[in-house]
Amino acid sequence: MSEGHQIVCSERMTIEKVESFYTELESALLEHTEIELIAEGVQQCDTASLQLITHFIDAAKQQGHRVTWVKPSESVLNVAELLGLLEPLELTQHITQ
Amino acid sequence: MATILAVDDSTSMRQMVSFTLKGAGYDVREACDGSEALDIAKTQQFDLVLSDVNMPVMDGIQLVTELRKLGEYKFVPILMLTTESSGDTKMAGKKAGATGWIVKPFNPDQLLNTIKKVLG
Amino acid sequence: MSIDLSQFHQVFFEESFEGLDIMESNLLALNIAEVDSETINTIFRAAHSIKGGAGTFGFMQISGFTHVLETLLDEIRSGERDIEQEHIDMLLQCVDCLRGLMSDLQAGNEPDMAQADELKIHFEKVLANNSKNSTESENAGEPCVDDKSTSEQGRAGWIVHFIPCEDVLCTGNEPYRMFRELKDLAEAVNGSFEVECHRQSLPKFSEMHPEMCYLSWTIHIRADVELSDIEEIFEWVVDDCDIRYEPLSDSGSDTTVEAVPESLVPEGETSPPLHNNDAVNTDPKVSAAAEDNLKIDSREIDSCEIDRNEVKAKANASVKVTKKSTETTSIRVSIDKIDGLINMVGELVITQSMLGQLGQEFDMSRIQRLQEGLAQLEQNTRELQESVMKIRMLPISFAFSRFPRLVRDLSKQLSKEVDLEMIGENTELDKTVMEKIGDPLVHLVRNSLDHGLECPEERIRNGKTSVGKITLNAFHHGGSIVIEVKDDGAGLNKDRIRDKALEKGLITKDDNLTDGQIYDLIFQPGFSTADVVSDVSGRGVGMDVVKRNITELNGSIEVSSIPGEGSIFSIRLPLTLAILDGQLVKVGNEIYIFPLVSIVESIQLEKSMLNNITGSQYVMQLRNDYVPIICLQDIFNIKTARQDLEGAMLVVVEGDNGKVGVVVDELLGQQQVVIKSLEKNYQKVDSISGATILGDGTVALILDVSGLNTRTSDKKNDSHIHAA
Repeated sequence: MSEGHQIVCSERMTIEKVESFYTELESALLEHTEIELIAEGVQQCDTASLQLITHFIDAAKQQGHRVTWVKPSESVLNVAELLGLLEPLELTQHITQ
Repeated sequence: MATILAVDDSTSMRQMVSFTLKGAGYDVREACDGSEALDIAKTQQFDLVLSDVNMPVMDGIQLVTELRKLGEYKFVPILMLTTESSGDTKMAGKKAGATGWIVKPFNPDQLLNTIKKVLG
Repeated sequence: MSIDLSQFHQVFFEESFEGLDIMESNLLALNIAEVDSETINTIFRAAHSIKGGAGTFGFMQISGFTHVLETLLDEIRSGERDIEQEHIDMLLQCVDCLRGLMSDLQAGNEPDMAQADELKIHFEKVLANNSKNSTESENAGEPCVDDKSTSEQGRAGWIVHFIPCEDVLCTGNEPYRMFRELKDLAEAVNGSFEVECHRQSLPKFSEMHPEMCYLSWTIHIRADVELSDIEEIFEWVVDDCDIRYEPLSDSGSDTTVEAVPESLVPEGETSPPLHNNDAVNTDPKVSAAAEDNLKIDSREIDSCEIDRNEVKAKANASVKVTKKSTETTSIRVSIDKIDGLINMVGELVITQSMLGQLGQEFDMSRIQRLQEGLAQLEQNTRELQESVMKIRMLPISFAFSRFPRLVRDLSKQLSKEVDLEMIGENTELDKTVMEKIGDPLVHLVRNSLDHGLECPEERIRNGKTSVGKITLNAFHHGGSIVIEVKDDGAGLNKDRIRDKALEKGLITKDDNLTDGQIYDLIFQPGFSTADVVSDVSGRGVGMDVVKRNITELNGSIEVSSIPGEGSIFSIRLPLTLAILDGQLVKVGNEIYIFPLVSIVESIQLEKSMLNNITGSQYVMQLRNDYVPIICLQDIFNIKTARQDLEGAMLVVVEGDNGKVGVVVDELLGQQQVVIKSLEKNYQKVDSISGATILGDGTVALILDVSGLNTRTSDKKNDSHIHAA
């Protein structure tokens, strides 16, 4: 069990909520060095949200912070794969072949 | 199942669209012009709006413009039903914020395939 | 999933006919000098809807034809072309032509395209001319196909460079959905799909707008797929986004290089000529598939449409049926009316259950409640009846709408100047009555235009304005609707009518006729005052036919006229054909019903009135008239106590061929009766127009006055009644 700050991704992680998600991630980046993305319950996600997360991960790495996924859902993995974002999102190890 | 608002001033087209979509399991409401559609859209959130372009009172382009002004419809897919073969109407629709279009004439299968494309 | 589109045909036809009416009335309202853009828009919209619907429901003849007029209208609408009188005339011809085509299709016949093709050629000529930018021709029917060379290339697959515009996500266009389609496309032919995402355009995290799209992609599709299928996937975003396609080469070593202008495009990929996609995308499959649905049939209509099979067509059995059988007529009813009905049925059910409960445990103490319940039932029934009748009511504008066109065309043809005024267009009338009154009204309006109104020069000579006026006026009066056709022309010429009637032997020199009686002569069969049979009204159809049609509807027509000032034809019709104001009479033990409108008077016969002609044939002198007498008991073989005509009760009725006196035993009350068709329930019977069920449950027959009259007319001719 890691002790990081937990961010729970919403069930509909889509563009409608991407502004508020952005704010949440931005403040997390300022306050925490260990961040966990709980993505178990994501039923729906889209380009906007994954673009945001991939950029968030890059920014976190640059600052020497750590971001880890916790149980990314099928939906997250599928959309990430279609968008060619599995690697940038560091999701490759979550794919169960 | 997804909810769809179908807007067309032609009764036969509206019935055809609505019948097709309901048959595929969507929850459909109908409106016969832009302003009626706008009123309905304000009282109920739809996952997709399907609108004719040429309509009395408020046409499809105006409807898209108005819908995009509403917070709830900022990102909702809106498809135009257009017979225009020239690009003008399509471009006007896109400029107003429409997602895409379905060119009339279309048959039920084509309609469903296109809907799947945006709701899929 | 396949859906039978024919179920929507009926609605399509109806709205198309409405659309054509709208086009016509707006075309007529167009003022070339001062074009109202909303009018043009309305016309365009109607044509556009017809075209769209026709294409969707598989009537490609219609959509192809409508396309040319839509193009013309679009040019006018957008200001590319000024409207001319010629255009209006052509468009009006198209309206007529389309009506014909639609009627054919509706009846299940293959339409005759000869006229349409001719008009289409005419339109194309006009379109080819002087359009302010005629080079920009549309290609609705034949989509542009990509040049053949593309199908040679791309066998190994395609590389797609996709650089979306920043706001692509805001319009609901999701790249991952497009990519999934690409993937499906590739996997359908056992190909592969790889996607590479480029993130170099992302700004600093703190500066990003998360709703914008900063990503771009390069996609490799290793599969033998058509470029057009790939293009179709990006169809909606092609204009805002940068999308480039290049074929994958078989060998893997790419040949020629053409630099991609944007620096964003990934690591110097070498590529043969790029297929930049600016072409109009018109899917050939769309129209082809719609053509598959060319089936003409229509039975089911949405629940809002109330169907009514043409009762008569059914009753006349198999002889005429063939194609007619598919034809159902329907009526559009506003939801309000239907809601009202449902509401009333609800109340009826409540009353019924209340009465039912009362019946189960009834004793005399509850008699008052029973009476209240019955009163309520009566009220419910009456309201329900009224509401159901209202469903069949349509505004008379449906019948009036054709007149602006008719008057315009006719006045042109006759070189007369006419102003048409229509009053009371919202007056409601039963749909069946409306359908049957159309032709008589047309005849009257033609007649007024042709014979009533003078030519402009003559009008000016007579001190009138050169523009004549025809007024159509409809209003409710009592339980009837009155429709007046009024002109401010020369008025009826009494002397000429009298001369003509004398010449035709309709009257004798000694007949002393009132003005009204003289005017009524024009409704006699074979009477026509026009010196020259003109193209317009003298088509062998006379006023007598007009009168007969109106009488068949249980209506009446009157004419009044003032020389030099004009004439008024006034038609009085019942509001509905389903209910009749009847006079009940008794003959023996039977009850018969006369339509109240047909009754002139009822009198007790006196011996002095009677003249015996031959055998049992009697006539009666009624003031200046001789009226044949018939006995219902003889016609229907009824035993009655009465033997002698003297002192008998006589109902004088007027039908097609004049008056006839009908001997009955007793006059009973007058009441509204609901007409039941005999043909439908039994078979046609001479002299009977229908039946009804009386309050006590017995059936009473309704007399067909004109039918009774023809019974006597043969004898009447033999016996030279006019000899007096």
